[in-house]
Amino acid sequence: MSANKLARLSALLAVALLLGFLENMLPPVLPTMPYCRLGLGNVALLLALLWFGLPYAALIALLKCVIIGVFSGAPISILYSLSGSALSLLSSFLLLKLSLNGLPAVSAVGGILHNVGQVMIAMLITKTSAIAYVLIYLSVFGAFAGALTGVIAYFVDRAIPSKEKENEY
Amino acid sequence: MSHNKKNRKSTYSLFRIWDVIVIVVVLLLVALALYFTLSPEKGSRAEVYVSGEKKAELVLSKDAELELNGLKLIVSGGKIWVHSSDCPDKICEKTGKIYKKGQTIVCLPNQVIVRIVGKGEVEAIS
Repeated sequence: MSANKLARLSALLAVALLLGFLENMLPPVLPTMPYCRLGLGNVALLLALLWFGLPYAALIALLKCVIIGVFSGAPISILYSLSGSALSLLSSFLLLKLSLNGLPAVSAVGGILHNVGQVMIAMLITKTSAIAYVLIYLSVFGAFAGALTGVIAYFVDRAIPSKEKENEY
Repeated sequence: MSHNKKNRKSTYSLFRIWDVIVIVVVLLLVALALYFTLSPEKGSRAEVYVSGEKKAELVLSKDAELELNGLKLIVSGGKIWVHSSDCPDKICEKTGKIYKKGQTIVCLPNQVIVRIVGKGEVEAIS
């Protein structure tokens, strides 16, 4: 890996972390559902996927989940964010490979599956299926949050000169 | 996908025709969520689970307080809520008062779940 690439990947990770921490400090978007988060840090993850491909995006996602989990004082949250990120990255990767969908739709599916992954882990940890009920609200929210992520990533991608990138779908 | 690396514009788009499928799926999810929200059946009891095991059942019509696993639960005026919790994220506290059938308070750090059930509802617990 060239120093240049390392620097650009690190910058993406820094943006992902910064957005993640900032969002943690803000009050919840929907007061009645405090676990709904926009996940703006995922803009950086989506861009990592677009520009550097799945392995590098997975690396950044892993680092983001672990670092935010450790510093937010709830290490168990690493499990939730990891399962969500893994599912959404994989689905976004596959949809981009198919290249049938626009970026917001790709990201919306990722947003839905992110929450599916988290609720699945939550069901495993609490051994309770009762929380499956919140999944319906979480997936709707995830779809819109994901679409927003996709729209932002689309305009950032357009604004960056093409020589800065090395991966294309 | 074929593209020219030297002079291409963005290979990504805001919208493609296949996105209609995604939009339809999202609309179905929205409809389902609305259906759940707009059928506000009041529950009669609150079940409290710790690590998947039912630890308590509170009748909503009777005011009560319950301390369990780091959480303080209060039942008053037909509603139940988490008054305080020793967990780091306080999501259970922020969830607020619940009273409709199916509503849930989840405290993942303490592995506590509070769920409203109606009369004679079949329990769906794994």
